[in-house]
Amino acid sequence: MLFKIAWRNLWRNKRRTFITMASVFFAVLMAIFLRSIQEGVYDQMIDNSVRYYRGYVQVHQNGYWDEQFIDNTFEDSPELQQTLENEKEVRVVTPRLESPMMVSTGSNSRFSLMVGIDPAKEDQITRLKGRIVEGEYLEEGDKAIVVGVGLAEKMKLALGDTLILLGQGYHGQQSYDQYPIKGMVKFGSPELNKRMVYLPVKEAQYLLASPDRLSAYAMDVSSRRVSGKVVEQLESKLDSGTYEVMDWQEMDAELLKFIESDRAGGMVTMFILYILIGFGIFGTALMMISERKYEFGVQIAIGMKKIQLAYILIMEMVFIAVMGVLAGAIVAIPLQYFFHANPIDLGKDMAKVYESFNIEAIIPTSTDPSIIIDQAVFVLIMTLLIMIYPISKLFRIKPIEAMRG
Amino acid sequence: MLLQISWRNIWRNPLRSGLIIVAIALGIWAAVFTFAFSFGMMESRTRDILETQISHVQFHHPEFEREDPGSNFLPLSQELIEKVENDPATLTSTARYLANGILNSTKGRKGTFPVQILGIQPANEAEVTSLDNRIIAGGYFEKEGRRVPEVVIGKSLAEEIGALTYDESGKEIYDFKRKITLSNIQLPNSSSAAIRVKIGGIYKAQNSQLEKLQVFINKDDLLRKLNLGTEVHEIAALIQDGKTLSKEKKVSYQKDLQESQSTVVKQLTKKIRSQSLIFGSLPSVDEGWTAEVVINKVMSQKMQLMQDSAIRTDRTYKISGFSLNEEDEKTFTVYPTGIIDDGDVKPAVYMPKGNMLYEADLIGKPMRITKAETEKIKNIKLESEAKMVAQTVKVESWSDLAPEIEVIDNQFSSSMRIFVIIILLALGFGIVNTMLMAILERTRELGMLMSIGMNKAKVFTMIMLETVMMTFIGAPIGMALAALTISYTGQTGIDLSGLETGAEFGMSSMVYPSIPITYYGEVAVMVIIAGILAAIYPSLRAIRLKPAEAVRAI
Amino acid sequence: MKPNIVILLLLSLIMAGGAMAQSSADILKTSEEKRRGIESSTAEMSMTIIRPSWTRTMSMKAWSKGEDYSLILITGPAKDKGTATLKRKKEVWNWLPRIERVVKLPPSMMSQSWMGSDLTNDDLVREVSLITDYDHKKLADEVVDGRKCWKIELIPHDDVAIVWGKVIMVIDQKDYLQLRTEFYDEDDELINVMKASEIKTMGGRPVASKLELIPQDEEGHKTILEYKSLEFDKKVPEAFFSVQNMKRAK
Repeated sequence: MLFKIAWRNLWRNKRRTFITMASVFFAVLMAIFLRSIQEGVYDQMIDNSVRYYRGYVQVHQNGYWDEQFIDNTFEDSPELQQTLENEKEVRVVTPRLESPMMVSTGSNSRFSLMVGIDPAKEDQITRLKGRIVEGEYLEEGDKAIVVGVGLAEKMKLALGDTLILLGQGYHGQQSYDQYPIKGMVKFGSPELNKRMVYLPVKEAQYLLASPDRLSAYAMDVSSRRVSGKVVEQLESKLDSGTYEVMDWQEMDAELLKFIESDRAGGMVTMFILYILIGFGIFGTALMMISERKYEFGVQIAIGMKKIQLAYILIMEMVFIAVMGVLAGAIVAIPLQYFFHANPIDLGKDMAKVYESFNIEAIIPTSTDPSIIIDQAVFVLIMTLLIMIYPISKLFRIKPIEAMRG
Repeated sequence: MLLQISWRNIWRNPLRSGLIIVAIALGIWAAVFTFAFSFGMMESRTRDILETQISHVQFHHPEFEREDPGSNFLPLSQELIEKVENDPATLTSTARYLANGILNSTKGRKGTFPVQILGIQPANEAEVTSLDNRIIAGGYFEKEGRRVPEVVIGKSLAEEIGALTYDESGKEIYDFKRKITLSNIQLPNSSSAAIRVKIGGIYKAQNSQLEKLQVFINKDDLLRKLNLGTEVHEIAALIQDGKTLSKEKKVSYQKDLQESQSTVVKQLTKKIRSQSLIFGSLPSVDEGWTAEVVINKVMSQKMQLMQDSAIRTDRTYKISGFSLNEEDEKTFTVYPTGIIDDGDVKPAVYMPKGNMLYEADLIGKPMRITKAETEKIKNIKLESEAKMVAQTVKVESWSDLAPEIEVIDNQFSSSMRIFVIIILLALGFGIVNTMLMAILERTRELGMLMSIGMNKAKVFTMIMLETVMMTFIGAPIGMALAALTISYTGQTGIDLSGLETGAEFGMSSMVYPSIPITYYGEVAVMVIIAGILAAIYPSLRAIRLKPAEAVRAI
Repeated sequence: MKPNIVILLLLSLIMAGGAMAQSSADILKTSEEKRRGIESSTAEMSMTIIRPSWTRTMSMKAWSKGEDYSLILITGPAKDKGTATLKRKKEVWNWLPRIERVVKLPPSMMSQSWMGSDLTNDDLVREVSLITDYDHKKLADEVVDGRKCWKIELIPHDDVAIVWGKVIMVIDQKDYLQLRTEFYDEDDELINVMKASEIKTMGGRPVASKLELIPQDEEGHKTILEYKSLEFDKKVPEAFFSVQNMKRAK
């Protein structure tokens, strides 16, 4: 009965209801939008960092991560690769054999990180081909290297020059060979530019006298949020005595820490936004009550109990809040996807700065549905809490005064 | 007249107007404070890195590389140190001698740790990077000139070499007596040295990698132990308003240096007797094999080396049929770095004295200089200053040294802008809603006004005026509120330690909000614009009311 | 960190003779004098690297002249044959026969393992004086492999770049051969042991032909050097130790 009255009340003054609903609606929308942008920035940061080199998930021989050297590599097998590729959410699997090696022209030598790669697959994860600034990218079967531009510059090397790679191979064997430089890659990080030397994985295995051995399988997964799940899945399928599975959070704890610290700051921003939208809802609700003072006065005067009235009002508010939140969430979904597909552009000036880091100067929003649910629930609870005060005013209404006003 | 009506209207319903004014004040407060908070967070993060690691401006030899400092010393280091110190813009500066080396200990995995040895001026270093404040155990270079010099090592390194252990309750126990040596210390002449050192103190850094890598030692102690003179690799300086001004200051330093250098170059070039450099530079080192030579004009013509403008430094040349000790003929590869006019009519190659003739391998496609052409190869002892002034000093601002910080900085300010826009949007919607409510409530009153002949333009203006006036009341309140909160929290700080802040990796969990003063104005203008824009829709709604219906409405 | 291979190699070659030395410093001094007395040497030897999961043996020829010059040529296995390491004063070069290139080792590579063994490149070039860099103390005599030996404790001087807390050397009283060297850290924990055994007459002198380097903190790790032949004071010109000659050495 009271329920019906509340429902009817809502539609008696549609405009008022819509306005109140709108304030809830906008609150949800704003909160979702802000969170989506925040998380989108992190997504992008992680994606950029992960795509720089590591990939989202890696499999190594157990113990490799703590002691990264050639004897701690594992023997590649088609079954292993198959297991990884069959894993749901895994998009690309690429083999790597890496080892610190000295590169030398004879008189001039430096340290480098030699990485044996599968050129085509590697490109799918780290977009290495796109980083070529001079010469050409590697192809399978090449007996050639691609080096960082910084390395080439420091050693005064040009395309086609040969470079000696020298280091310790499998089981302490002395490994060396010389390769022509086929291409040069440029990373945003000067560190990587000065350090990286790529060659096809088969050649690297031959060089290090470690046929069929790999230091890692790097994997790209569909999103950063599933990487933990992929690790769990793989850990259950692979022999834990032989292999270790790690995702970016484990491999790059500092990035994770940075994001967490930034997120803490983001929470303060969110808190401020909540105050603001909370007050918007509060204002609208308060005005709604004060506007209906006369009406309430009359109802009390004709014998309706205040508690009944409060119940009606609460029902009305719940309706409004739920509908506003639902509407906000529904509208937020396409908005999230729209700004994900058409990211906010930071303009040309920023583009230049970012370009040198191989980052696009855009902020795509996150499409994580949990943001919508979290924010919708949060705003709903907040709305209902805010309503307490206006409703409490109801109990202070004196019918005579109210009707006179 | 309309102004008066509007003003009176505002105060006729204090609740309604109060809500709007508070909303506006809150909006301004929110926008300003959010910005100040994030700005403070960003600033302190950047400042941490600048004032503990990279400083605002650094000076190096143009070929200097941190991973391999070698003999790339700063030219005229003493003069340069003084020059930087005395520059009015410099707040404080410090010089460093850098070398790669290996820290040896009997404990820990394999007992050897590749480290970067930083020979520092302890007092200056304390001012520039607050190294002394980051000492968590032991002391900070309390005595100079010890027989066994003290080093300050990072906490993580101390753990690795067993100088830091933990008892059962997790309490840290430091062992300052642990024997360590620094070996393989790269010397300028490409040989190396080893010295025994003792742990004087333990420092904490931004991340554990730095802690493992950097070992600090008094520069004078280090140079004395290595039998070196006064060479330095690096000068780091903090300057006034360094975060914002470092780029401009860098240019002025550069100009300054070039001017003072060119005069020295002129003087010294004359010193090299009649052999004046007419192009390029002199060989960089006069000790050890560098394969760098200068050639005379006749030779350069023979080799067709100088094509009006550029020496092909990317090419190497092979000299053959030449012998130093009359024993056997040697063939070796050289890099010409410059051309001198020695007044000779025969081709000649000059190389720095002391170059031993080890054969260097070939790079690229060498040009052969036959015996007939190398009729004369001279050794020249270059004055040590001469080799230095031929090069310039590389000045770098912090954004050159750590471009990633600037990117993060930029990313921050652009996302900040978006946040502020969202806050303004939220504020705008708040105002629209409240005003719409107000119009709704005032339907009767507005209908009355219109039916007694107030035209639509006037009603519109009246409502706009009301909003603008309320904005003008709310804005200063909000700003005052923001200023108060910022100055309060800016003093006490906001502790985020309850949240995951990454404090372990050196970031402070305290945030001190701060804001550039101009920002108040910017935000105020934006909020006022937002307020006015937000008022348009309700005002339009108001004039769309039909007087007759409006009056009838409850 | 690792004991100085040059010293160890050369100390093991110390020949017999001389009056019975009294003080430990004298014993070491005699050793040093004898060591300096050796102008040059030529050796054929094998090096065996033992690891928990694998073992590898290389054969090599080594020439040395004083402390400043040495040349080591790998003669087997076939894969590494011809690879040469040249040391001139503090600089080290490698000759890589398969690609016919010479590479000079930068100081940053000095801490790397030499040919995959328990020795580093740095061990080839580091120099420490047993006489002036340590305080010496004679301990009770000991019998090793049936030979009467002096046992000398060496405590490094404070300001010398030596990490060891102490070094114990066991020196044969008859031939001045250093049969065992123990390296301790400052907590008196044994870190490395160097053992010499199988004393034979080579190049006319008694020589311990087998040297074992046993790191104590890494189980299953060991490097063994065995001399097949040794010649002393054969005239080797300084020019022999040149980058040019490294390629031709046989």
